Amino acid sequence: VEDAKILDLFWERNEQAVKETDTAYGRRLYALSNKILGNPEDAEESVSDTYMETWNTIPPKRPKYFYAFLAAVCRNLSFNKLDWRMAAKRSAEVVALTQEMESCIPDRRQDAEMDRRELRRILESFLESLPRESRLIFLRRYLYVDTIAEIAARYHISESKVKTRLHRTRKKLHTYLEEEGICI
Amino acid sequence: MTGKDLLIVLGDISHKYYNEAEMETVAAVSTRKSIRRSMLIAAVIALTLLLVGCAVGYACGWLTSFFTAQSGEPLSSEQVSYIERNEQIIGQSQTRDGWTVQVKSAINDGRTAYIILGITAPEDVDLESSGADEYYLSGAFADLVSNSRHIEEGSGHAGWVRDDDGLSNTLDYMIRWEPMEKKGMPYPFGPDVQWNIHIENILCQRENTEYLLELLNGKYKGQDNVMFTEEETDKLYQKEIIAEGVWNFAFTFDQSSSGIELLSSPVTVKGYASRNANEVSDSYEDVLITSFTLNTFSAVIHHEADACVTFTAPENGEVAAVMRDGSEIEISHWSASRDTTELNSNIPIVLSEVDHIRMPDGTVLPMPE
Repeated sequence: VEDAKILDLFWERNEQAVKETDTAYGRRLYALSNKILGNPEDAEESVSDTYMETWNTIPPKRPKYFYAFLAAVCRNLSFNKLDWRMAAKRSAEVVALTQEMESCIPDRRQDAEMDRRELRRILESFLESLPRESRLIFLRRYLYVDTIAEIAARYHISESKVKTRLHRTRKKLHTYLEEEGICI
Repeated sequence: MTGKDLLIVLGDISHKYYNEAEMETVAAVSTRKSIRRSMLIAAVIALTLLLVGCAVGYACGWLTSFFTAQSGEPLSSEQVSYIERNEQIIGQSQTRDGWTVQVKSAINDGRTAYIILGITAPEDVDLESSGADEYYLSGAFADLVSNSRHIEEGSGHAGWVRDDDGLSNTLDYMIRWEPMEKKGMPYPFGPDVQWNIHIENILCQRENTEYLLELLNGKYKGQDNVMFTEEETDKLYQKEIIAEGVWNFAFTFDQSSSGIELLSSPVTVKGYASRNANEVSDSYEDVLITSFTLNTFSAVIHHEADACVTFTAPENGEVAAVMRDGSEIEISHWSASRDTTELNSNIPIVLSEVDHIRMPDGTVLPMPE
């Protein structure tokens, strides 16, 4: 069923909307959540919560990109549910990602709190400044929590190319945050 | 701020990025050949058009191509028509050290301006493949002087964009700039405002591939999350001046415009208010807005919250311009001061086609009669 029809079902308050969403996107959402949580039961619960949140949000909303909307909700809910200490114990992928992100933060701002929406604006501006290929690789890694091997397979490029692209992009983000810090 | 915070906040970015990363199943790398083929075809078509005397039509296509790429889908006929009517061809060009910088064209809505530069490198430089990654223009791109004042404060973005001309040694460079909104001040762009662009040297920062492979196959063999040391990074990426010289341009906008005020009386809408820059979470509260001015590329909200206010909904909703045909254009939060919130659109909003503005809390602001 097309996204527009699923959205119509949500707007009509028809519970079939949730079933159709699950059929179309359930597996992808589960995979995303499981990458973050590393626990099938918690991942299933996050996907259910995603549907509940979607049901409560549409209407009044009518997202332009339906899967993107679902993925954003699912990602945020999964991170809210994540037990970071347990993740560290089992050396989860998400812990590696936080270490990689750590390298993007200029030293002098390690302790500084930032307004979340201001940071979001900076990140979006940074993403716009990237070449498309680098942006896609960066987003697959840090938004969708893909492994290096998954990204390489997805884009038919070598793993070392993925690694170097990511490294270069992280370095650019470091510089970008540093420069933005001057005027904030 | 920690790496964990950064990773989590990344989840707040616009849905268009989620969509892009999900829908683009083949990366630019693997499509480069076909893109090049299509660019060649485009170049042949452009050449044919030139031969039959339609050069003006092609010249005015720079900004249309740019905004189409920004949108990710075809622009409406009204948007294309707006760009064609308002694109100001500048055509200034200077060559230094074998590199030509041309100020191609500009467009502004009174408070936001886009300037597109065309960069032509010597023929043996493949800018198309590596420009965005390796080459940097250094200098000041947005020095504005009006008859009455020097406009210093502002924010913007500059970066490489494809020019689709089929030549590997050329690439476009887009500058977006908006001076900071000050309540009661006139719109910054207009016929009396001179824009100065000062470029000093073109730099190249290449990856030292040999050293990189040495690291990946040696010290970091088998590691997924490679973290090079500062010393290694410096050795991996060294900047060098590839073209030495100064490119100076000055031009004046040939038109001015003003936005449309949507409010005849104050309205209360919900927004996130921040009264302390170090607050971790802001309060989601009623805000009395006294003015909502809609422009082609932006919107400005004045309010009485005495706080920096972000007009988004808890689930990441943005302000939307709802067009007469039912389509929507997102107008995203850009910056906020104690009484003003500025929003941006990355594609033109044709004001005559707007039916209403929908705030993230569902409040509808109709267009004036």
